[in-house]
Amino acid sequence: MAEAPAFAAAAAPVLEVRDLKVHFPVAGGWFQRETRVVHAVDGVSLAVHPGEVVAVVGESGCGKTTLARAVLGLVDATAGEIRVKGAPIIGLDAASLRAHRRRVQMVFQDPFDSLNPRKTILSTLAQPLSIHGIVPAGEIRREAARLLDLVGLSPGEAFLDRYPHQFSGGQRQRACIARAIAVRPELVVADEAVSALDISIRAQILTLLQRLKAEFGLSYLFITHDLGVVRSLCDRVVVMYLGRIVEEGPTERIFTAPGHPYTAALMASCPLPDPRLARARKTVTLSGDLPSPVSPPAGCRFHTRCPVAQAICGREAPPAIELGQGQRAHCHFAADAPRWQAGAGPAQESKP
Amino acid sequence: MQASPLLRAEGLVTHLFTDSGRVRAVDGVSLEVRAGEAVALVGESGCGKSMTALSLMRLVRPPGRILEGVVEFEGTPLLPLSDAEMRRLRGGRLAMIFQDPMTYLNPLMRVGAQIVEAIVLHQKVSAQAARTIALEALERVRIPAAATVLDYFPHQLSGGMRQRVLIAMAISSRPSLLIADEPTTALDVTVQAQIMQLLAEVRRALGSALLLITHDFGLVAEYCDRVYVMYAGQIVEEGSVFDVFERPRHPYTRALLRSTLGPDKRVASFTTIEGQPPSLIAPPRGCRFHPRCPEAMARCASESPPRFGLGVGVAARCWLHAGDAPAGREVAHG
Repeated sequence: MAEAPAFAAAAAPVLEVRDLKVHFPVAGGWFQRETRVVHAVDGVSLAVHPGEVVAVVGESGCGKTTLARAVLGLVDATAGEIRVKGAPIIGLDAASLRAHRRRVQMVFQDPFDSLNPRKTILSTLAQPLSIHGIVPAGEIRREAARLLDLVGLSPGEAFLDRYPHQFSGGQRQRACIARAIAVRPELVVADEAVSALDISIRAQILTLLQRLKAEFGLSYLFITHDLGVVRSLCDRVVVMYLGRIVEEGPTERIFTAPGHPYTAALMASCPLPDPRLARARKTVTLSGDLPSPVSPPAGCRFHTRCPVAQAICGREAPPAIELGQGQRAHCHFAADAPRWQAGAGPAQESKP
Repeated sequence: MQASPLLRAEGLVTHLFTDSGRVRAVDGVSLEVRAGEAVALVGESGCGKSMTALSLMRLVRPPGRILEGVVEFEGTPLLPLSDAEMRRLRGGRLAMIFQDPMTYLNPLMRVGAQIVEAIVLHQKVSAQAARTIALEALERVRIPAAATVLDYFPHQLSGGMRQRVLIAMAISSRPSLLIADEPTTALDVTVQAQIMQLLAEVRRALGSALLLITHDFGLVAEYCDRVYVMYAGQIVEEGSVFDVFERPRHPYTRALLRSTLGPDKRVASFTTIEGQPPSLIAPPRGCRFHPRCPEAMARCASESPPRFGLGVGVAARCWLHAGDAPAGREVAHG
């Protein structure tokens, strides 16, 4: 994990998303007569390569969860393409969609909501094992116990007949992970999978995710707002703001040399668990709230809150500026990033 | 140490008498907050930190009950006060901000009316004067178009704006102490930074102290002067943020800090603390952390360690320090 990811461009991606749009109609206006459109995901492209952990970060309303749901086939795409191992998943018939669901599994934030409280862990695990024909019916119990051992609920046999309420939060998340890997997926979409957990339990689950990745050659699409986790777990980062990607690149580049003012603001807002570093750094505080995704700002969507915005930003959507090593920022002034980060921007504030 | 602290708790014990047993949520907690300083009470969920805050404010509801201890605020013992006297203090000199502002805002009442109500209750001013004070408070927490917001209902505001309104209510009476229980946990990280910086600014302007209840070591490092680390109903370590982050004395603090991931560095392999926090119905004998402690000794399983003072304002509840503590500085609590 520590070494820089050296993914050969040749390796076919496990997941490829191209120009994905997911729009939701919402009723509004007097007597709910008007129909308006939420541009939840508005032209997103990304790829996850075998063995890679890609983070999608952003604040609530940026579209990261909708993106995850589209990849899982849980919401319909309005436009664009999603391919898993080269095969398109949009417009699949029921049988092909089932095969897709085996290849892409999910782990959600709340392990309390994602396990059926009336089912034992055995029956929760037995269902995907039999639907996808992973093992013969006679071996399901043994396989379920083996899976629980794998995720650290051992001896697995002792946990099989328990109900979710008999588990702690960390144990439940382990059970969810066991269910996800039961069908031997290629990609696991983790939506805030460790966000609700306490520090000591979170470290245990992250260790588990790392181990499973190495053992089974898994790839992760890791949806999160927790930048500390991103830096330590993920190979590449995609930063979203109001339905669009504002920046992407290798983790170390994104953290040490962000090319988009929003990325820089996210980094600067994230509390540092080091009293000396925290007191030494300058903080850029973004003003205002997130604009509505029903009517996103024209031009660059971030310009209404951007500390370095110029007139052009309100008129023209910025192109992707290549910054080297696969880092790309959608900002008219990405090439000037070192300068505005050094405090040359007009609206920098130092921390009180 | 300085004269008398603004807030002092000594040997505080609050238990919850539930159907499944007696939960020892707060079990001999002593802490103090001095005028103007920012103090963190940090710990994982279920360690008793919120129950400690509620006990300090005397907001414990059944099945919870404060059983023992002393709480002094501005020299006045709080536990013997009548409910009416306590109500006058709360929201006055002693204010509190909670995690979920919607729980504490009346959804059917306009924002302005709610702040005015609180001000009239505590400051004996006319409704008209209270409205002026409310407007000033909203402007101080940098709510744009504050006069318009006075006429809004809470649902018309974003989460960050609601938290600002709650802060405005809390500071309208110029409290000397603000107790904030996870005030930014429900907010996005850029909004969290806005709110925390706003709190720091408001505190500086009013000279108020802060007791921040949190699970986030990042917020502790960034915004607090001193910290108390809580585990299983007890304070296990205390010190300045520099002491605790740079020289943690308790194995639990050390393990937590090693497990804390920050955006400032890449951690190649995660340090984990095995197991999970104990049940507070039947906490482990001896040191409550000993079943998970990598440095546990025979004594830890049988004898509860006292608080060992290790310098000015620095203490740890751990037998590893039995030899370090200056003679006569052992102070046993609980």
